[in-house]
Amino acid sequence: MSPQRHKITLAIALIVAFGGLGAVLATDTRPRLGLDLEGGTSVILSASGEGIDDEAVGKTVDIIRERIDGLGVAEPEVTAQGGDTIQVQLPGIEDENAALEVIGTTAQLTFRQVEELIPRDGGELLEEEEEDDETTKDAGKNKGKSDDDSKNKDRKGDSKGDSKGDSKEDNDDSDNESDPAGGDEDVPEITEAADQSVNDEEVVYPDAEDSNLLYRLAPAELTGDVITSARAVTEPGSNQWFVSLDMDGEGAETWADFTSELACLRDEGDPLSSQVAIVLDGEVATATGMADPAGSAGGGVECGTGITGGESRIDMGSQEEAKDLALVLRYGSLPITLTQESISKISPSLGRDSLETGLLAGLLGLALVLIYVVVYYRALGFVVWGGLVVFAALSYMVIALLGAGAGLSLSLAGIAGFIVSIGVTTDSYIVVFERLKDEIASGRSSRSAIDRGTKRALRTILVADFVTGSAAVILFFLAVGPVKGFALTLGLATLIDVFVAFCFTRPVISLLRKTGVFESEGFMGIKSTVGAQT
Amino acid sequence: MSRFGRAYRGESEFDFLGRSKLWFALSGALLLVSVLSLFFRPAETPCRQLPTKGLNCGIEFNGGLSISAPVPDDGPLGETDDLDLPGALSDSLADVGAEDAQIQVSTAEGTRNVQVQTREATSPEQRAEIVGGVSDATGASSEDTTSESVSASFGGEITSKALRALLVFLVVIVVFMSWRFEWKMAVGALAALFHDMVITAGIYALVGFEVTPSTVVALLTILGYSLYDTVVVFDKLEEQTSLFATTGRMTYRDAANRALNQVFMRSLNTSLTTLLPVSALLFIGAGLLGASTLEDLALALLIGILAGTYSSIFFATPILAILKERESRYRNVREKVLREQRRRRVTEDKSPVPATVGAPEHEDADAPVPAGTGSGSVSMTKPRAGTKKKRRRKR
Repeated sequence: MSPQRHKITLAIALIVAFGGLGAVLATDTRPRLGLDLEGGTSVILSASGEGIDDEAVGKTVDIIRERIDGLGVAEPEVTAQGGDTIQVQLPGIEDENAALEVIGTTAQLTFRQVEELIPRDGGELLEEEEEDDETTKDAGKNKGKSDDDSKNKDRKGDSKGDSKGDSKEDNDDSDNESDPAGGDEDVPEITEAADQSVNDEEVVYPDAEDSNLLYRLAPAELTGDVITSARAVTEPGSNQWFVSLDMDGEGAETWADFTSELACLRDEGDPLSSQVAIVLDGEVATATGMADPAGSAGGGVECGTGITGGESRIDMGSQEEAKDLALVLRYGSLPITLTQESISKISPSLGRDSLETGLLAGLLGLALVLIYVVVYYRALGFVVWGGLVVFAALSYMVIALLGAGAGLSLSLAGIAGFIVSIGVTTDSYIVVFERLKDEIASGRSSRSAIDRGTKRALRTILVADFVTGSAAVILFFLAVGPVKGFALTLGLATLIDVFVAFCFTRPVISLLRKTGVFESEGFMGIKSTVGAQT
Repeated sequence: MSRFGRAYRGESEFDFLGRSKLWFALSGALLLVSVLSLFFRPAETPCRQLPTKGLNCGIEFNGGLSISAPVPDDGPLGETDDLDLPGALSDSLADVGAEDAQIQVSTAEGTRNVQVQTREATSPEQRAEIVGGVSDATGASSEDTTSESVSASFGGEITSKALRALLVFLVVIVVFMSWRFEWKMAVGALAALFHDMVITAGIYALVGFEVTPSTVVALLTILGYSLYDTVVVFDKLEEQTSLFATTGRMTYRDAANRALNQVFMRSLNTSLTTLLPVSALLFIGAGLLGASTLEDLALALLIGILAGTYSSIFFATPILAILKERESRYRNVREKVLREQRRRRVTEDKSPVPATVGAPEHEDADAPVPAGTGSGSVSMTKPRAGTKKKRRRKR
């Protein structure tokens, strides 16, 4: 490589390291601290039940996240840890017991008749409602297209009228604070319980998409365990997506009665009450009307018959919506129970102490290493200083950025990983320097010794770092808990080590060679041998 | 020139491999003690998931509930003596169903701290009661109370996942090293790895330290470090042996010795620069209240890094040399070199000059051989490296 290119590489490395660090510091992006450094409660849950897959665990994660959001905990973190394990992290929470209770309950799916639509924020109903083009049909009879939109628009208009008209019936306390528009006076409270204890009661739940839209719902007619399958499907040559829903024998009978009743209400000109709401964990996933047999393509649900045979079809707009609903239905069909496998609560003061100790130990260790390399390698030791400063700047930047961007949090084990990597990074220099000494000792001129030695040493570093890097990758994917966090920092430190070796150490040594300092006595602490060459 | 001075410049000619019997005996003794303490020294809280009897597992693996809380001086137990404190606390814990709780008192930075360990709570409610019981009894605020509760099944899961990760990692390493170097080196590296991990675990069992997730993290770091170190040593070894041994100028053993001499200072330096920060962690962590994580990590790392540096040179390389010397090409070189040495010795014995040549059988050579001579004698007759060294030394 030409000196010109070395200069450019070095300049880029320095710009990346210090420019990045400057940007991170200027925007006050700080590394995110793990719970063991910040204090808080960490819960590991295992999901159990029949037919659990990644999809079901992912849905559970979403459900838990929403429940915690409801508690108003700052920055909760809910993540699937692979397999059936879910980790919930609640920073800075004082009384963890309330949170633990909320987290642990099993989510339930129910089918309920819609009694009333209540917009919490006066004017939003018209624009926000998205359920308009969904209708439920008897899949056995009707494979045609969904009902035309105009009818659904009517329904929407009706629902608004109904909700306003019926609002005087509300007996619950109103929640005026969340109603800045001041439209409805009597917005009822959302029912808190979402488990089977309220199956036989009338409830008020929000829409899953739009929390300002509330539904008053009749007691549950059916629960999710009757569902045998739910798939998002489309007909060939059409972009109309629907959910094909199957129920078991007992469920199918109840479903037929229920849908028949709803169809009769529809025929009586009550489109709102003819809707069935599919409710998962206290949220209305969708509310859908009964397709009119007299409507567009025939079929539909008839008053007096209902949907028989347990096979239904729920028309949805897009593929995405159909898939979401199918997932909700499938999830609701498996009663997933969550076990709290591990609960650990760290007090903030202990966390702070750990952080301070870790940083102090790191700084002390760094200082000792810096002294050692200068004592041992003399002037060349200062190259190590430069390299470690670049390493530190890059590490801080990467951790801060990953904390802000990808939610990486730095744990105590991670700090320990970085402290160990001070040694491993220094080793990269030791490998290079010892190599240079060998090459010079074997009688090469400093010029060819440096060229050959650096090249060869960098190869060694690459191979060794590959081994450490693969250890990090495997641990990250296969292990759980603290080991995962450690693996991540180990992997990052290894990558940064490779970067520093190629973009800092190599150009610096090569540029130093040009200046001739390697020929000067005592530069590497090997004056006698170098002297012998001159 | 002092021996250290020569080692400093990678010029020492210490016969590492000639003493391999000694190293094997040393490693063997350490391994034996480790295995004995792992399997036969009964631990107080043996790990349930492992066949070893000797390792003390923390509640993270065995399941259980652990609570740590400060004892404020103005709290209900503020006046109670250190010795009476466990009794007083255990009385109030018996009310919430944790009568068998083990209680320890420690003091750091003027604050007293209680550590309570008991078996897994039967229900979330009982867990909350026990944790609340501790903070009520000591008068510590709920915020200052640190607690950890792990179910036994989850502890088992962590163990099995860590073991699975380890297995996958080993397979990847064997494949990678067989591809990058050769399978014999993979065998040597694995042997070193095994050596380091067994010894670290053995010391844990012998001293009775508790195994926590931090220990596992540290063991995995050691695994990475041990391999990293072995790879650096083997990389040098491969270069030197392909330069000299394959061309028939030196026996494999001598070429390997040469490589070890060159890499020795690097290994020493690296372990020093890694141990410096780790020791800082250990000594600073020791003074901290309750944060045993750092200490656990640092301790296992300290032991493992020492073992890792030692094993790369004194365990992995001798094993590799034994495997390699069986290869016919190296055996032939070795026989040729030995023949030549014998012939030279006969001639030299007749001359008045004292023999500086190493012993005929390398296994018997037990002293560092003077620089530039000895077992590398064949290279003296051929070549570049040898002659240059001589020339330099004359100046």
